[in-house]
Amino acid sequence: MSRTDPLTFLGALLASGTVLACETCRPLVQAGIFNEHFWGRLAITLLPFGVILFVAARVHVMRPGGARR
Amino acid sequence: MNRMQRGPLLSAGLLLGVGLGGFVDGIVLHQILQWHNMLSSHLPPDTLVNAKVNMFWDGLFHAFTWLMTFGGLVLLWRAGQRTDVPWSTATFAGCLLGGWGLFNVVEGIIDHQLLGVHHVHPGTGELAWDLGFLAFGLGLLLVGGGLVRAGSEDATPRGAAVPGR
Repeated sequence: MSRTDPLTFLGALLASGTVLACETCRPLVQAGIFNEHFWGRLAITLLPFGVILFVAARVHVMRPGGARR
Repeated sequence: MNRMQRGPLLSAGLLLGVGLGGFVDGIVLHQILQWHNMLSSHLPPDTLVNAKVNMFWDGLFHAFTWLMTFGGLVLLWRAGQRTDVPWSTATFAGCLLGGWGLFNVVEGIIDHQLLGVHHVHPGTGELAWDLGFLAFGLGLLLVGGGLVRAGSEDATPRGAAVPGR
């Protein structure tokens, strides 16, 4: 059984019209999302979560007394 | 020799706290009060199109917040199956609060102060609102840290909990 690639799934979801219900302004909204700022805005949205995941990973491998693996 | 590992419970609580704190931000500040959106400083939601573009980025923010919550749940489940992880209520509660505080501090510093993509309550006194958001986060971190320290002596794993409780 083949596994669905999460990035492929996300890409298909984002590119589909189903996320944009308003027919009249759909082209403008799509143009406002998928423009030259898309990857920068995605990075901005992801950045805090990346920092938090780094902290959580450090905490996860913490040994008694504060030492890490 | 103390072989108990607090890390797995700490990281689980931390991620759950980040997720739940993120949802407070998204649900209360973005949706109910509508004080700001993800990109509202760059793209003021004063037209339908801008509001919908902001809604898209708010949606991605919520999606990542959901992933944090799910990750915390997975880590909590795995921690509960281990016999070397102390099952401490104080530690877990402290991490939930600390995670919420961590979210506020990291998001506040990066999004509000450094990048300025949005502010807590734009307009007059926005810096005060941003600093208050940061101070609230720091307070949560302090209270959470105190609870984690209070649970540092707990050493009973979940599998050894008193039956019937």
